Amino acid sequence: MTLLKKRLKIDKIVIENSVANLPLTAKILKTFEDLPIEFVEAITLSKIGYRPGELIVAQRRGKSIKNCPGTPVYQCCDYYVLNLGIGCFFNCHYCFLHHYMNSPLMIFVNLSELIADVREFCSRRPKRIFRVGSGEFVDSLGLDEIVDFNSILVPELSRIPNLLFEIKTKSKRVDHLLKLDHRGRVVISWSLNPQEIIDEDEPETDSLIDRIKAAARCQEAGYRVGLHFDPMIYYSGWEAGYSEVVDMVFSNLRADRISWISLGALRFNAALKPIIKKKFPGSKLILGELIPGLDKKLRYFLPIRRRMFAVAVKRIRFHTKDVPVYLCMEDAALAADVGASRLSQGDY
Amino acid sequence: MDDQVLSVLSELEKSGIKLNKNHRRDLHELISEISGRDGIDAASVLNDDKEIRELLQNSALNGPKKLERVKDILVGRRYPTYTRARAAFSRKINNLKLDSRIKITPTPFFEDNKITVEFSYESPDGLREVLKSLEKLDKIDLVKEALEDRQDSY
Repeated sequence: MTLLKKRLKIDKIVIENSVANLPLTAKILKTFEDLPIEFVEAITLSKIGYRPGELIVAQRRGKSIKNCPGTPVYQCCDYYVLNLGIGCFFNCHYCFLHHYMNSPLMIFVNLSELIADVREFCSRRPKRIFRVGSGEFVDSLGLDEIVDFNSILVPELSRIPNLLFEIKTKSKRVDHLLKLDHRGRVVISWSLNPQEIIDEDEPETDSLIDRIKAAARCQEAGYRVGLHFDPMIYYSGWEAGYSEVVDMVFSNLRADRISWISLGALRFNAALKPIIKKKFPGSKLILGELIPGLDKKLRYFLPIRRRMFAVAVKRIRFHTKDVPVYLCMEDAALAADVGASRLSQGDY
Repeated sequence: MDDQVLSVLSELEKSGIKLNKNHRRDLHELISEISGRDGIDAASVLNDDKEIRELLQNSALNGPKKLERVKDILVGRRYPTYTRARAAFSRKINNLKLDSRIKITPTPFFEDNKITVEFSYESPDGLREVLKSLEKLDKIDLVKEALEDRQDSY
């Protein structure tokens, strides 16, 4: 447990009174029983007064399921986000969560209400299939190291007939998922990058081969998996690097059990640039040919993105013609140009 | 600010270039990013560039001109693909020899294929001339061709 606390860098638990008696809270208290605990009346989302190192155990109020905060001017893949908390101890250098660098990790433990929200949301349009993922503001599996969210979410959410629940991660820790009843309605997805990029800009995450092996174990357990080459990073040797990752994927995974592959090039709000510079002075991320896109986010100049996507799509198509490949936050013309498609209901 | 870059900026000032706060910030960013990307020290970013060396020693150029040229060269080195595309786009526009009353603007950074055309005229004859000149645009896909111009470079 000491190791876990050290890894998560947690030294205090703050619990909102309204969730003090919930089962997940009890589990957290047991896991971190030797840490100081403070009970508070209400936690505001601005988290003013809290600091990194504190784990905030709170109640999610308001809508727990929202449209993916994609980019209105680029094509959206029609995705929904289930918000289980905010913060991540993987600390990837490009992550937008560094905007909140002085904030603690916050998790929402009123899972029964969150599940009811999702059920109600999906019931409004029963003929439509909703893709909902929990990996936007947290690493979906990273969170399980604090308290095992997915052992509750997977069996419960997979009862919803028109929902495809996506667990997005850079973690290899899948043991607890393998025996869960997922009813074929849960996709476990990994974000993939060449190992040299993982070493450079995702150093606190699991290795590429460990992620792929974890994906293979999930496939063996009957899960479908998703793969996100996102963010793709332009570096000397990128072409060989990403091609090797694609080859590794198809030599370890069954193509017919891959639900989708997405490609997205590095992009971030301009305000993140000085933060990356200060927090990770050795990182070369901000030194790419990044220009402001239509959404004002910094992204690689279009011909560079086009070339990166084209190379990746070609390599994927060398291995399989059937797995849907789509671009994240790009326009339809570029997708068509590089041979990617728009993910549609029929694809999943 | 990085000490090495600051010393490069004072070298620039010694050559007659006056730098205000914004110039200093922009140049600092360009020099430190080129230096970081290429793995060279900040002084080498300027000293190893023959074009910059020559223009700094050029007594025919005044300070503001030198500053403008140094900045252009550094922007070209920091954003080489974009700079080449922008130059290719301008070249293609110039080759069309459009009526001087027409102004062609692409979407910033060529993020899409859109072209904005502005023109002015003072008489029906003038309008006819502008419209005739605009017809040259239907023979060329300006953005696509500008971006493909140097496709081999990345």
